[in-house]
Amino acid sequence: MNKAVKSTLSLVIICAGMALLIALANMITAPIIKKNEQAKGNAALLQVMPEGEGFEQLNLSTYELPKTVEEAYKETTGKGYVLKLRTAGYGADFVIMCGVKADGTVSGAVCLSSNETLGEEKTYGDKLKDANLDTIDAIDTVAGITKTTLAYKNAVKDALNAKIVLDGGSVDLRTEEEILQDNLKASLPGAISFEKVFIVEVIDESIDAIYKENNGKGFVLIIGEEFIAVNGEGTCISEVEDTVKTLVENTVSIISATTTVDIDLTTYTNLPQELVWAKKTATGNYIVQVKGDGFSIHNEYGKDHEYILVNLSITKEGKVIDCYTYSHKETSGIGDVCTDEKFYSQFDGKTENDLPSLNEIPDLSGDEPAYTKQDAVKDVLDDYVDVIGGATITTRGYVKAVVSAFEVVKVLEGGQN
Amino acid sequence: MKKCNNMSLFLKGILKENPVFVLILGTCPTLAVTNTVIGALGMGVAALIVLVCSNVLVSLLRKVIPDNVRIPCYIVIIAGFVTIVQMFVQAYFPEIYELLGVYLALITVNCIILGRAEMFAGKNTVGKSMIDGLGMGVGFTIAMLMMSIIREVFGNASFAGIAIPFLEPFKIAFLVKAPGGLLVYGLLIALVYVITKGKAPLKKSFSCEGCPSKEHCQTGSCEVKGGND
Repeated sequence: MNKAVKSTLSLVIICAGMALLIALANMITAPIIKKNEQAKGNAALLQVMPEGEGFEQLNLSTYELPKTVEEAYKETTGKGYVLKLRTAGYGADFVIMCGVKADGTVSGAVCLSSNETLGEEKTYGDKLKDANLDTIDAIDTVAGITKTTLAYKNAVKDALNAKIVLDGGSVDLRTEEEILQDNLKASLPGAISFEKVFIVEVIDESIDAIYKENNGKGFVLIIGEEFIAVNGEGTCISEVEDTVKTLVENTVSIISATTTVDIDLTTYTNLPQELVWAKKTATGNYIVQVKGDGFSIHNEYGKDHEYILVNLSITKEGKVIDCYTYSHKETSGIGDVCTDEKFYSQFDGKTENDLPSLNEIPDLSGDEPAYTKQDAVKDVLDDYVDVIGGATITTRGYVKAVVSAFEVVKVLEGGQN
Repeated sequence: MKKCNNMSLFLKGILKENPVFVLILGTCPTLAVTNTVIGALGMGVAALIVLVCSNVLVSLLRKVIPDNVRIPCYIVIIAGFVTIVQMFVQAYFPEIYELLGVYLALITVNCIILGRAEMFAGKNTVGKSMIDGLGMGVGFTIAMLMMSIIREVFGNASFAGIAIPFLEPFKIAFLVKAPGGLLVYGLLIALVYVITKGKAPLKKSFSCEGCPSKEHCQTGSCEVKGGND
């Protein structure tokens, strides 16, 4: 026989023979290995649901669950569920195992794997034990690892929501922003997307917010719980009382007619150094962009170093009409709460007297790291504003920016020096 | 007489031609898993089983395996037995399976096994090959145990996971680390050299004869120097 054929044939036969032996070994060992792995997996499940007797993994494709849920196990005697969740912490992803009892409370939560920098998230699950959807929000995050513990808490919240879905209920998984956009679209036919209007004119106080349709289809005004739509021609199309109709139509015509002129800052001296630019409306209000030194400026690691830029509209008497965060480089998940409407809308309607003066706000310069002075800063700010949890330095920078805007208006109103 | 031969064949692997301390083969697992006695024992026994099984099968097939594909054939046989052993360890000794990790699968490339298949089983009868495999396997296991006992007892103040409290203050943590392993390894090689009075006949068993590279090499420069892993 040809040498090559013989070699190939014998190698093939030996391979086949060994494959047969391996298959045989696999037949014997596979069920035992599977059982071992199941027992090992159950041990992790029992950690968060000690009263569980047996667990059965559920097929998640048939449920619409929060994105963090990776695996779900049903306790076979109906005591609840155990969910494996993956969420992003400060550094990298971490995996949480969370048990939810049949009554909708947390039976236990443990962090299975994490590359986080600090160790306290390992025990944070104990704090969440027995919490339910109504009480979980009140549980504090851990200072120093705010982002990680916040992510932990949100993941456990997802687990509680998932339990409702797995029980056959339904949960609104949309974010607040998505819910808002959906409500806005529902009130103005044909609308595609909306953007919040930065209000620069004094309007009726009952109006909470104004949204403009991005394709010129009109506006939606929010008054309390109500969404009132005005079409592209400026006519109110929602069924509301005539007085409200007139109010919203007038408001829309005011904000549509607004014109602004840039102010030449070079003609002024004594303007606070926080000022970036300023404009004036035809009605005499001011629009200014001011910068505040947040954590990005004061962090000791030497990265980013960018100011928080805040846009404000202020009456010539020095009262904030509207305010929003234009740009920032604050820490993701902590300081970036300054882009949250709930945070910056607290400055609406504020005057100089409602906020601390620049002298009152503690100075952060010097050799000491900024964070060592955060308690002193928090003591001052707490009397005036809602300080962002874990981001005192960010809040300080923001407040400084707003306060300096009042100074800007004073100088601009005072005329040329 | 035959019985005597078999006995000396068996004993040869334990001391005179101990694969670890004399032939300097299988260095990788020797250093990697000898920081615990349990791990060393598990590795030793697993390698012993693979060694005996592969020696027997190679010897059985030695007349049908063509010479030019003998190395791939040996590798397939060894890898097959390693996979089987791995499955059984995973099924019946999951703790040891976790402890040995990747080193269990790496038995496939353990020079001792391929070395014995190539140098002994491929040329001898089934019975002799089995005894050779047993001897070498037991020698390997004993060597692993010796290393691991020294390293775990003095390095971690414990034996097979059981703490030895009175040694706790004197433990030399360095011993359970890789450099400590090398040191213990070197000392044991020296000890075996002294015991065998340097008569371990490396030259005879590791000549160019039987070397897979013989045809291309022919310089003989690697002779006597033993193997590696």
